[in-house]
Amino acid sequence: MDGSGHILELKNLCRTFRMKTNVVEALKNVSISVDAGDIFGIIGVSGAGKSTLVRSINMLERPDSGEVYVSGNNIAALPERELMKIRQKIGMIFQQFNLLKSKTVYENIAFPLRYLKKSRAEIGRKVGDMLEIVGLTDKAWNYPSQLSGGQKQRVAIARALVTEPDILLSDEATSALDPQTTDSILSLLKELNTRFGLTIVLISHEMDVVKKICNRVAVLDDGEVAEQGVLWDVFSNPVSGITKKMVSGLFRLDNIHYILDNIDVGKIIRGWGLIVHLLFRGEKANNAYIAYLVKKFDVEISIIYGNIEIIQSSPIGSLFIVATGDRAQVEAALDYLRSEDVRVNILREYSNENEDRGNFSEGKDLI
Amino acid sequence: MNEIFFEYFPNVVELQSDLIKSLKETFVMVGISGSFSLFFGLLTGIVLVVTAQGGLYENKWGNSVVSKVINAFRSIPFVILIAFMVPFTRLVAGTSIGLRGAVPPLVVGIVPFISRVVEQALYEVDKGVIEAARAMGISKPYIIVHILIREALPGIVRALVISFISLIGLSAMAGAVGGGGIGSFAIRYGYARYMTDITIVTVLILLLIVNALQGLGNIAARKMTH
Ligand SMILES: Nc1ncnc2c1ncn2[C@@H]1O[C@H](COP(=O)(O)OP(=O)(O)OP(=O)(O)O)[C@@H](O)[C@H]1O
Ligand SMILES: [Mg+2]
Repeated sequence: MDGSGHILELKNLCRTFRMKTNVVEALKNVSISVDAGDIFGIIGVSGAGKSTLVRSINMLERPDSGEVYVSGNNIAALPERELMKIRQKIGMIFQQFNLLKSKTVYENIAFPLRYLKKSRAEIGRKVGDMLEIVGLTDKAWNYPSQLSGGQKQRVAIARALVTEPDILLSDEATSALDPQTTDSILSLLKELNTRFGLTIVLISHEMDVVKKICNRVAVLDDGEVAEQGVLWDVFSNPVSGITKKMVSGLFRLDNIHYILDNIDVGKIIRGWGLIVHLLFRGEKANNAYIAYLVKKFDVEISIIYGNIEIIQSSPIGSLFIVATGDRAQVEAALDYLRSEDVRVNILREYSNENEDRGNFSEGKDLI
Repeated sequence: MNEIFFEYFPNVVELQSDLIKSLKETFVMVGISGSFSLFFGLLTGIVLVVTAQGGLYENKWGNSVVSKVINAFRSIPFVILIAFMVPFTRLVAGTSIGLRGAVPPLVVGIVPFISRVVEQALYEVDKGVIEAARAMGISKPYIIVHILIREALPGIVRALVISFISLIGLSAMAGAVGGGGIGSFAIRYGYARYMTDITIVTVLILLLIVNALQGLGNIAARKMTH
């Protein structure tokens, strides 16, 4: 018995796929802990190992080494027969819904209960309840082919939860859906989380999805956990290269390339200046820093591009500025921002003697 | 009407009772060998799919053995198979001629074919659905019966219709060699005694049977597809 009170704890998972021509290390020493009631996001690009990771949680994929604790019990070494019991307590939904084509919505949801030989009355009651929760009572006698993608995923969710599992695994469950439908499925998951205390492990390659409902997140990069923690902390203060890249994407920082290529920075700067990216976090995002800096220090500040993201109902603001004036004053202004816990990233120094206009962000992380 | 029929198909009218007896024999032959073939064909088809790579009971070695045996039998022409099997046929059926003697070669001749078409139908079942069932903690045998076979049913029905049509063809050949059935009837009279009307009527009857079978199969498969 271990797992230190976490509902789910993965310790040092390794998984290597050996094929004729090559070897893929899909998981390298992955350790993750999930608390009861979490919506835990696992984010990473295609091939990062997300599916392999989530499939080790219910042992559809046995890791080469490492431990998987579910409610404190290590299940990594259990024989198939006992794993089946554990799996009945862990629901799973997929990108492709994976419904039974030959069965109605009702029969799809009833399927795991029929396997468990539940009574007719119990099956009727539970399936009825689930249909109501996912809002498909009127579709009970339809076949999957008669449903939209979002409705299919609702059926899959109902089927995964009808046996009342404690944990729901979601492997790219919204990746085949349009943005509106994605939102409605995410709201449903969030509702299930708050209403029933369902713990959710949500896999996605989309920052947008994770951002909307997760409270904690692990960033997976090439089989390794690059970062994990509270969602807001990870996104507002990214440390690893891959997370920085993702946060850049979230703030659409790629736009800055276009903007800087199309404005004459020299005209704004006249003399000496810095192009700086600022990340304001939490309440700080609401403060009128720029006006304050201009008043307090002898600097000129031009805003090039900015936006704001709300994560876990707390804002993170991103701002690109050009600061010009006396070098010492500019440095002092930036130091003041740093002391206020604003992330300051000097992207480029600019002076008229130095007419270099090479690629603006070459070799430099935007965040 | 009768007179016209008599004028064009004189031998058919004369050999009416023989024709009906032959038809009955064909039905018995196809019925008995079909039942056995259905059982063994489905079984090997399922074995092929579940032992394949990524299957529920993945077993490279077993899969390759079954597959090779099937291919070996499929490559033997049926008439040669009948001759080749005589000792075995005597052993299991007690005789190598007549209706009884026709059944073992028919089963051995058609099972490899059924296995392959059933295998094809089972492969059409989405791997993801099986994965979802495994994630629910459902046992492998239950998955085979309630998902693999159930989801593939329309395809299996279509596959079996094709198999039965082939079986009717083989049964005519087996009958011609061992005696009995519509095939032997056609050979005996239509071919050996130049009674062309017999040949024509036999062909028409077979056409009717095959079409009825195909039609029923299509309706059944469509009813199962949603
Ligand atoms: N059964 C397997 N055999 C061989 N290699 C595999 C297998 N499963 C996964 N891999 C490899 O392991 C790596 C991680 O795959 P995985 O499916 O976990 O990625 P992912 O993060 O889920 O990607 P995606 O977003 O595309 O689904 C990939 O390089 C993949 O090719
Ligand atoms: Mg994946």
